[in-house]
Amino acid sequence: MNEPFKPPNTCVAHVDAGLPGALPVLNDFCVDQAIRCGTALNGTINARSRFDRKHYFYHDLPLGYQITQYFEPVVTGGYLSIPLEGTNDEKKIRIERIQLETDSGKSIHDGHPFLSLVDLNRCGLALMEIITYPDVSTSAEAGAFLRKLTHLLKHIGVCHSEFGEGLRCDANISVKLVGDPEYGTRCEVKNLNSVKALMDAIEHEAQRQVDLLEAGGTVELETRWFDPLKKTTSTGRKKDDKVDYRFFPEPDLPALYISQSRITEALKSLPELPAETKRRLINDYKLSVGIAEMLSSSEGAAEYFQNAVNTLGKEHATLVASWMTNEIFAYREEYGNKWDFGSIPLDITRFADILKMLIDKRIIGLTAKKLVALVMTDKDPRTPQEIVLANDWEIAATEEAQVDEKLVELCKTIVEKSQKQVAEYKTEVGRRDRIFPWFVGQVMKELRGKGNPAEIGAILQKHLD
Amino acid sequence: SMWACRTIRANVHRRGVSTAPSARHNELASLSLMEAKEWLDTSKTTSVELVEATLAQIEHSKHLNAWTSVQNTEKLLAAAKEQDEQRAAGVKNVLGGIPLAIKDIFNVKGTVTSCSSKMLANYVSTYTATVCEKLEKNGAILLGKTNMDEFGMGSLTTFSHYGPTINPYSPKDKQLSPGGSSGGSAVAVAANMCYGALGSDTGGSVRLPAAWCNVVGLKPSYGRCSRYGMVAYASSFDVPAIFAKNTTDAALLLDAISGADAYDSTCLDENVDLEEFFQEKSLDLTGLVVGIPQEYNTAEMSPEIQQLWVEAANWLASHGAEIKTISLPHTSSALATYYILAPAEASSNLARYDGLRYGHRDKASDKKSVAELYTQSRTEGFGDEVIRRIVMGTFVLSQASYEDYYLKAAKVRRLIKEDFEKVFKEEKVDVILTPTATSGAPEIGKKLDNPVEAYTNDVMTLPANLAGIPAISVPTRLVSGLPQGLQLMADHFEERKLLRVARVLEKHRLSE
Repeated sequence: MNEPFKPPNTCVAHVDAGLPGALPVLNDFCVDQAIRCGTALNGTINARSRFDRKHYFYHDLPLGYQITQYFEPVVTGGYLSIPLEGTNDEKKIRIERIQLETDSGKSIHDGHPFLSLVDLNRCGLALMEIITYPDVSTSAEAGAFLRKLTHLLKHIGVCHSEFGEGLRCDANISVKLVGDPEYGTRCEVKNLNSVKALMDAIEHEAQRQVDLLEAGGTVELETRWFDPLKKTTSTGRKKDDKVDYRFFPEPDLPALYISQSRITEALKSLPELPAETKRRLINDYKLSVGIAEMLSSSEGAAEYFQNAVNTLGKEHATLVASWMTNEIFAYREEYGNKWDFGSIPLDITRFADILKMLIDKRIIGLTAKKLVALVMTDKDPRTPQEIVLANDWEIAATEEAQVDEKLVELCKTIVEKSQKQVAEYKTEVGRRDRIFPWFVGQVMKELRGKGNPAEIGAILQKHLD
Repeated sequence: SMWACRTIRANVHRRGVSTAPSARHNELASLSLMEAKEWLDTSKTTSVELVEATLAQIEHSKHLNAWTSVQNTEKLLAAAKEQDEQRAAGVKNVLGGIPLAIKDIFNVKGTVTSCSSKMLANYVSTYTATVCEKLEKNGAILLGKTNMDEFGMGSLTTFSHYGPTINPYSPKDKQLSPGGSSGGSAVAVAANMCYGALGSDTGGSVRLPAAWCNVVGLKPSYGRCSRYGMVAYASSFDVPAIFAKNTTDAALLLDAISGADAYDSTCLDENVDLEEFFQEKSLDLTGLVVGIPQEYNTAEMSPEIQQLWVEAANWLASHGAEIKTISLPHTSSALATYYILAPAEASSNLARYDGLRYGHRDKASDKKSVAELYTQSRTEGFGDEVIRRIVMGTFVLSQASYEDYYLKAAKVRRLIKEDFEKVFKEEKVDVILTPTATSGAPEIGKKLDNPVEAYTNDVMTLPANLAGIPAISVPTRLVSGLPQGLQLMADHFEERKLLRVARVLEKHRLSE
């Protein structure tokens, strides 16, 4: 396998250069990866699949054909569920097939004043192409699907690079009038190097087709090239769509037979899949669907959560989850695609320590937030205990006892004054998460911010129930 | 001497050697491979001498145009000397110091591998084909590369960028074809320019020239020898194949080149297992069943060849074999099936020749578009027959024709294979006997009304390639003054059985 950034044309085997007499050999590791990926996507691993040649002439395709799996791919069927925004529902995006094929070389058109340059380093490497049915209905769904898929592929160790490098995608877009049974002619859009590019391309292309059809024109089957700066698509090589690829069985590679024992062996290294993690978080820890979705689709989140819960106790699962999703996630932007709970500055030990101090009422919520910020943003290397000590943020035990009676009185008063809200709290169970903090807020207002929300919450809880 | 050669007195003064080989050189060159080995082992000669003897023959037979390139003399003698030293030191190389010829379809590092095409006339191999590597590892001296039909497409060795190869059995007034596509290798062995040679057999390309040049031509089972480094014509038909002076020599060469190769996914890991063949020299064929397929008795077959066929059957019977008439019902479809499937694969395998990374490139088109560059380079680089087959192949693979032509032919191919399976496995036939060709070697340059007519030369040999089974052509008595061959076919991976019967059959020649 190639490492990235090797000088051009330094990793080229005989068959990759299309030398006379050279023959291809199937990469068994890639077959195992296809088995794992196909299983993770709920597809069927075909006991028998074959290889075929797909012919076209291009300067980055030395053999004049690509080896692919046109007739009988290694995996058929499957799906990936994406969360639908604003609801707890999911939508299944169905997979049509996963096929193994060879990559072509890379063409570089802007590396020389008048010549096109060809780098054959990646030529002949095995690719895994995942093809969906046209189930994606919006650009948002497309983005969600791509993000989910990228996370899944990284999670199971099939993909190690970022989208745009080892992972590429093309989109096929078509439109139809509301009420029409069938979608119109599709266009394929290439050169999508980011999730944003994919979404922008879909938006633009769909609009382009709508404008064209409304003006009385017709959409032609073609391959279009996406310009990420202008956010437009333009006609690529029109000829390609009339190309007859002359598919026929690859005579140099025998049919691929995959036994049940091979599948079992390949799946041994498969970690718990995100869908299963999500289910487990909901069932075992009673987390909400939204939070479980976030934790199961973020790199390293499940392990992070598990470790914290193991340290602090199952009863604090909700606390751990909400701190991860509300507080720590807020720092995601500067990391972008590289966000991984396993490698953030706030390691699991210190995170658990902060929450432990909060649970033990040694610090207030605001202090805990400050501690998180110090580690995440300022990369403070000290332990939370050291920071608290240095800043004298620990709540004195005596302070608590003094306020106690007065606090209880205050809480009682607030509850009696706010019958409307109490009624809401008692009847609308689903909105409790939102109404309860209002009560806390009212108390804090009276205390001019100098209260322990956890303690206030506990007292209010008693009075409300 | 059995052939009539025109000796050309050229003014060649190389190391004081005159054009006509010495008596000693003639004696050495006319040895079989096994005899040469024996002479080496008993110090009756040296490898250096063998190389000198064969080089003298090569010089003497220049007019036959059998070679596309001959290795540098100094290098050859140095390699021979190395082998002599190893032998003296007690190292046992199976082919130690034996000069061989290699069809110019095999990559040998540092040599031009032209496939007798203008497209690769400037292509120097960067690696050596596995079968050639095996020969080298066994101590063989590779003298050079032999002429062929361009990219293996042809039956007469007339479609070569370097001109045709001449059959050494040509009468004084005519130039006859040696057969093709491995004509150069066949002639190299027939004219004693080497002790054995590699060819390739896709539709009969070793068996046919073997028959017309009076030598043994052995086509191993598909999957017996590695194809890595052998330039592909039709991948599911091509096999590396052997020319030799007798069946024992052929067996030795087969032993050397067969075996699994990690670089060839279609080559199986099966021992060719010829121990018994080399040890057991008995000519008794009691218990063996020889099948005579009635469908091979075609209208085109000359009465003389039919007669020869009968004689051969009787000869085998006289050694204890049971002769049985059999039927291979789909035989008549073999020609059409082959000429749909093989060109299809050829059109694909030759797509890589675009002049971009190696090979002939039309410099004038360099500054134009890639499409023009490809078109011009390929039009100039390929000969007419190659272009004809690429076009045929492209047609049968095109979307509109794929089902009616390629897919249908692939299905018929299976039926042809099943014909053989039924005969070998159910009817318990051990080998099948047919003539190798339906006529004698034709004259070179004879105009054909339709180029497709030439395809009928292959009717006897094609079925074995379609089925992937091993086959051998054994020289027999002359027919109308010209060499002919008898073909034996056996079940897949039964080269042992094949050679055992072939060894008996080749004695028929001497029975006259």
